Amino acid sequence: MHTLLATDNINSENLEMLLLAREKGEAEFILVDVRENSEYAMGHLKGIDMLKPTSTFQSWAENLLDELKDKTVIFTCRTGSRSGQVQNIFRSNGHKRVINHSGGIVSYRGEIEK
Amino acid sequence: MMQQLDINSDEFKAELIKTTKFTDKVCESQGWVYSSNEDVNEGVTLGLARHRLLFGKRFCPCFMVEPDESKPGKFKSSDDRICPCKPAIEKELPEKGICHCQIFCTAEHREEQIREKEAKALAKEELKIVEAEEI
Repeated sequence: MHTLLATDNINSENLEMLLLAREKGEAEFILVDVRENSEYAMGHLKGIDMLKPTSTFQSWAENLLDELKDKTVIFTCRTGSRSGQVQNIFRSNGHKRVINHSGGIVSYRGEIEK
Repeated sequence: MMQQLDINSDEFKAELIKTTKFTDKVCESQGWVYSSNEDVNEGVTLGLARHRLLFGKRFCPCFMVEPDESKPGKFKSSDDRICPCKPAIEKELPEKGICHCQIFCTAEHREEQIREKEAKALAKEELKIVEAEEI
């Protein structure tokens, strides 16, 4: 599990495994959905900790970077593009443990909540 | 801070109708079809309508839209992805049969999606039968 958390990108299958491991207390990370409120309401991964839409990025980015600076953070979105952009910005601003969910929710076969 | 849109508002509903007409036209003009996943299609159409209202253009909903510093008051997205985007036309559809957003695909790709879906449903049914027999 620790190996998966040491990568830059994680696919849906491995994210599903990590979420199960976290439920058992075997992994620690924060899962942040960067889609919009309406997209989130249509369905989201079970296990999302925070919803931070990219349309309001400027309003939350700095605080979140500071709040989660010592945590492992996984960003997710619909296809992995927006979350990848957020990951890059966080990384270039000094966050050392930030992971992108590549493929996003459209490639996820685990539990989806509404 | 960017405003949040009310997707139940008359303004949004009207834009959604226009956007659906727009995506219908994209299919027609490019020779594409919609993906077989209706949830994905709905999500992308909502995203395009949302961007049209917020930014004045149908920027791809899969990419982050940011203020364009070289043009005050204007916006841009990565790779300048405005629907139907250049990467979809030139690369994604010809090579993969489906666009990054997964709303547009080739007729062949859609048929493949449907076949896969049916095979999965069948496998699920068969698994249920085997499990029932074991009990």
